[in-house]
Amino acid sequence: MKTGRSVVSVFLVLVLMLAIMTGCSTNDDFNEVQPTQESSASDESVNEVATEESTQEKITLNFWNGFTGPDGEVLKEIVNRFNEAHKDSIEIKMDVMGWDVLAQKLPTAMMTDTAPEMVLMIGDWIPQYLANDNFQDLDDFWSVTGLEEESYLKNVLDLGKFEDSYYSLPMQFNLIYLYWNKILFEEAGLDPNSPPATMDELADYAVLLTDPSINQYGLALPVKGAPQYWTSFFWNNGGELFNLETKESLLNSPENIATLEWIDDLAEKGVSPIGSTGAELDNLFMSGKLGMVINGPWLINGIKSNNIDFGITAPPAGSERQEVIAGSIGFCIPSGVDQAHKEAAYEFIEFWMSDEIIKEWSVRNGFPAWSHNVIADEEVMNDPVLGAISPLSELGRGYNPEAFEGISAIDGDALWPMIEAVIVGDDEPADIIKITSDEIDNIFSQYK
Amino acid sequence: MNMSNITRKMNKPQVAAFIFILPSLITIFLFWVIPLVASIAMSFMNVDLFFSRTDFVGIENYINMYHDSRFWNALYNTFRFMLMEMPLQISISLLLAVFISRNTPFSKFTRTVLYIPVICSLTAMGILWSLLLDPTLGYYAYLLKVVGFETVGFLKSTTWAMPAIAVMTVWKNFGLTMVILSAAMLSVPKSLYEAATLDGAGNVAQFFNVTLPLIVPALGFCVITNTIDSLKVFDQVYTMTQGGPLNSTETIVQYIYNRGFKIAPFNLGYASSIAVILFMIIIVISLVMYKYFIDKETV
Repeated sequence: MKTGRSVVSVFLVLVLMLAIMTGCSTNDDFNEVQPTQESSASDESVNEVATEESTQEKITLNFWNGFTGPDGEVLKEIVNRFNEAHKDSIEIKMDVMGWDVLAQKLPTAMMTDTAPEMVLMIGDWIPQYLANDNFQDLDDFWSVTGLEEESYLKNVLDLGKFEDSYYSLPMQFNLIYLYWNKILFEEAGLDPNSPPATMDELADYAVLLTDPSINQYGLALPVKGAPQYWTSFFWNNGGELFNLETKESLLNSPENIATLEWIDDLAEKGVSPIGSTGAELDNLFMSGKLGMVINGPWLINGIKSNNIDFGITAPPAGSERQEVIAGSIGFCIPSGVDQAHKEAAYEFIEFWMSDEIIKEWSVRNGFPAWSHNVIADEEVMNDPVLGAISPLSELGRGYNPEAFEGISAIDGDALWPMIEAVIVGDDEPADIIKITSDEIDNIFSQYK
Repeated sequence: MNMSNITRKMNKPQVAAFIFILPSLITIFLFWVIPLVASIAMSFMNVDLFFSRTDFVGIENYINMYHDSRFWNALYNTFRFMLMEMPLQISISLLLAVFISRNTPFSKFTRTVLYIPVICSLTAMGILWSLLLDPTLGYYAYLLKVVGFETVGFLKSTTWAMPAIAVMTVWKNFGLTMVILSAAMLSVPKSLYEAATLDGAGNVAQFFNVTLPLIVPALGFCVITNTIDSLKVFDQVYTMTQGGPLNSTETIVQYIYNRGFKIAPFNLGYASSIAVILFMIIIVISLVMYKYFIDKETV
């Protein structure tokens, strides 16, 4: 009996130790030892890195990105193809994590010289890294690779330019689009092939599509966790949010107050579930219970897999114009990466910016193409989604063209709380706009 | 000092005990003491996430905190959560512990089943509950409709969001408290209950006059640890509401995260100063509660 208990005790201890060791083991995709960023073939510690090949010529690039969704599988495939074609010279080791995790890990990695050699960055995040000289300028990309800037849409390339230098090269580009459910349109007596062309029509259609008795809503009005869909509403009605050159708020204007009252009116009519996040409303649209949603092209594959009969177009024009917020994700190279690794990264970026890969990414993920050749490609033009959204690219407008590093504070502390206060709360839009405008000026004052 | 003296000293039980706990001490030092000291030091500085600047600013962060209405709102929300969650958890756990303390197969089975939420991931449960409570797609909304009630967006309401998070937290954690209290109840000598019965005391009287006084140490432990955990609440707030709607569920730790990691200028110094204040609040409350339960024990 005693012997039996001893055996069981020892066995349990061994199982526990195995569990601890397993839990402490690292991801296969991630280096156990981070390579130093100095190129040092004679350095013993570099030779001890498990992921380095034995030949000194082969370069390993650590590549961080946030593509955890289905499009991440496509990215992985493309990276594997590149690795296969360059197996003697370059190996890319991809480390995929949530974007919020990447945002937390990258600054500390840069501080401790353990940053990857290449990272994908959401365009709006880049300014805060530039303020700390964390990324290298990439102006020599064109001369090193021989690619021509004129082959690509200028407004897309410009999203990666800050103070006239390239700090990011495009990986993908997108506007946000108005998706509508054609079946719900038909059931509400609307033409399923005619989306709202103006904001007035958008409001009317939203009310017609709303039926609380069957949990059906007309238009998504998320209060957080979504792209800044409300920018189109404010811009298109002739308003501006802020001036990044002079660092002052332009929010408190009659046009913007009218727009916020328009949003408040829609919320009171119950066109959207109150207080919902972007993800919740995306799910509602994909379950066929929401008539219209404004979101990026990452929604397309989910909509298709849920067999929703949908249309896609630009958010409608307002009383003054039609502009849509443009977003991008681009390749950035941290400061301190040596020339050899930088040129290896250029080789991959050149591979990515080929017409073949741009077309593949567009066709498989529904993101608009941004090279002239691909936009004119017959297969792209005939694709029902790409054919609809590619011509809209010229409506795109950057949200942070002056690379203001405090833009996340304006979003997080001012504008999104304003939208939430209007949709969820009871205060008057004019009062909320005044408070928000003062908050924006307060944020700017911290950076003057 | 010769070898025999050294050997004699090392053979002392205290030395052996110290050697055994040395790995834990090192871990505590590395992962608790050093971060705590660093946090206190950073609270007197202006330092961002990139450590691009580290300016000593004295008590400026604490002065700014005093004038920060969002900090006071977060503190209020934290106490509101604690006052909802802790008493509810302790009372439910105490009640259920009475029933499962019987040594029957059913009690043992119930004890195991009720413990299952404790071993589930808090983050996963937060996401699950936010789906269940969704007013349009959630199962609870459907059930409310079936029985004839209007659907309620619990997590979308400034009134109901915090109680919903508190209920979820109680559901998640009460199993552990219940097991601890049950173990304490099982250790109460049966002779005391027999004597109480002979004196004519009913079940309720026995509970208040025999059981409760004798489980004060375990009860005190549960109350103090529960209070500390509820003052540090973060995971379920982050996954269920992210502090909304309208910051009605933004707790202190959520605010520390927002200021330090989410919103520019990512002021780790200011976030650290808030963390230091929370630390001091927890210490004071814990010491007061500890003294109360020690006094109760000695009485």
